[in-house]
Amino acid sequence: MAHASLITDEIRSWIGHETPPWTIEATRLDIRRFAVATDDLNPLYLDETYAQHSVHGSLIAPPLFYMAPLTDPVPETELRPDGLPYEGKFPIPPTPLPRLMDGGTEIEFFVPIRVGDTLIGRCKITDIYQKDGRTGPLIFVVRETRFTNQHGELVLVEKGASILR
Amino acid sequence: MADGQLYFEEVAVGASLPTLQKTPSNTLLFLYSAITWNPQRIHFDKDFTLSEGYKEIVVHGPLRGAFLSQLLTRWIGDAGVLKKLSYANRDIAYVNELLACKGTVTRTWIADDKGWVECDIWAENAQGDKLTLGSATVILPRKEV
Repeated sequence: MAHASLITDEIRSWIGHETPPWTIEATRLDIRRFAVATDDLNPLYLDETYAQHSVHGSLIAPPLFYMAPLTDPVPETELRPDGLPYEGKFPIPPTPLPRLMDGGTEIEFFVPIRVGDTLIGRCKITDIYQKDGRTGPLIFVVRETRFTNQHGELVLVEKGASILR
Repeated sequence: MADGQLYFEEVAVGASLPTLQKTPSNTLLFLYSAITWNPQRIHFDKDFTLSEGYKEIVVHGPLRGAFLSQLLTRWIGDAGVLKKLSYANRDIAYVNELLACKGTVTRTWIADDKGWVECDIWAENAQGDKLTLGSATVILPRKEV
């Protein structure tokens, strides 16, 4: 049975909503920490001499390194009891559906992240739509995040969805 | 990696990627929470996690994405390029449980003088339940170019 549309004009107006851009410094130390924390000890990320003699010519970061410093630290007093910030890292319009699920991630890579790069991330809501799930209506909030580096090159584009139910 | 480059000619549809086995410990989850500055308690506070109805500390969703990216980068070698990666976490993964990251080649083609390869990828637990499903596109060097 089809559910009545929960997507009001107010919710629809969030399509196109952009977060303020944020900056990620790809330092040697943070790349090492990310590689170790993901148990990915590839010498392209860790061994300067090895990386210099590789096709890349210098140390690079693991593909998903950009996920490391995605949000600014929030003071503990501003965290919910479960440890999450009250405001999530991605913008979500207010809806009558209380539960938030991850709807998957799709990344297209263009140039590698190198040690010393400064990345700028920009996230935008690209679509909001409703589907009927087994347990009731689902609202999909689709977002696109683009990262460019200090040379103005496009580094990667991440498409992701949050599902409200 | 240093142990030999993979070439496009060595890859055929239906071939399996070398399995990457991970059993993320509490320590690894702590390190991942730290580098991603993630204060969510289901990733480090067992009492809290049990009180939320989970059976154990929960593995971060994006860490499973990182394991899948490693499955691919390890396979394609230094001269291979990871072009696209997509994944969705279908079920919860718990600390100290096996995550076997696997893949199968689904399509190969040549375009712009490069060798392109598409794969299905997934992470399964010891029972063979696929907890994460995904796909990837990689570019491999060609021997005769």
